Amino acid sequence: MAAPRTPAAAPPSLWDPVVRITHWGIAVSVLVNAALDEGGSLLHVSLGWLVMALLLLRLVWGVLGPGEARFSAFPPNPVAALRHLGQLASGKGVRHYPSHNPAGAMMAYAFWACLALVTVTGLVMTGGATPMQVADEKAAVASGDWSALIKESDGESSEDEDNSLRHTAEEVHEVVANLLLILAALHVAGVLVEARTMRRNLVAPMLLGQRRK
Amino acid sequence: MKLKLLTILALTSMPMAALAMPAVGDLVGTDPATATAALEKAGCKVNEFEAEDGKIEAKCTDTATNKPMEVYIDPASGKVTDIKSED
Repeated sequence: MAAPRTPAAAPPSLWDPVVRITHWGIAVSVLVNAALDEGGSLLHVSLGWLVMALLLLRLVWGVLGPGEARFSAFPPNPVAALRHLGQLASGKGVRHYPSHNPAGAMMAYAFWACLALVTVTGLVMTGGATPMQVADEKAAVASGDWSALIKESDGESSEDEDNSLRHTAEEVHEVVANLLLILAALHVAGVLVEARTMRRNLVAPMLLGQRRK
Repeated sequence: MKLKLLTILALTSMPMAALAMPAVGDLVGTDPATATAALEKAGCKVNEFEAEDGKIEAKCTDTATNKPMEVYIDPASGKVTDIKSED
């Protein structure tokens, strides 16, 4: 199954605002949460919720958005992805695609799977606490009141089970967060190689781009 | 006689062992004052308490090694649930 393309088709000279906002919003949030802030901090949890919202928006956009943003424009196809990488390496037969190229498409799906996993495990770790609840809890504990953290439904019997689930979630959260950084590095490397081989600026259309003709 | 000496030695060295650090499952209390005293007695001087992931995170310094530690306390039971060295 080859990615749909037409001979004259080329990626958009400017991705639509939802694609651009979700791309950069998620990129910046992931980098800040991975490298700058402290896990469990209010900023970390807030950015986690922002990533979840942007991811959901992008996934909905994959169904309802304009042609090049839709999943149907870049179906996951590992064979086509490898072929595209081979063409890039040899510099021969490299094609333009109307949306993400097949390798870029696989990267997008890998990113989304990891982002979904990292947000779900984050929710398990925080017990689903919203940034507002986290802020309230931190303020209460800072003022010396620990009772604000006690959940009425917490039973002694489920305590161990709950802790073990949170431990597992934490392990997965950390591994997937590191995987996201590796994917990001590969993604940037892919963009640089593609831009060089195809003699095309791929960053501008994702950033601000030229006006759509 | 020898056994008695060993027993005495073992018993007297226990508080020293306990001084190393608090352990998971230790009851340290459900309020800042009690937990500060209990953690300090167990060998970790508390710098501050924070809420993290529904637990109390005591940022404290291991008095034996001077390393910063994070001791997590269940606010309902007052027990230590996890101990990490601060990265």
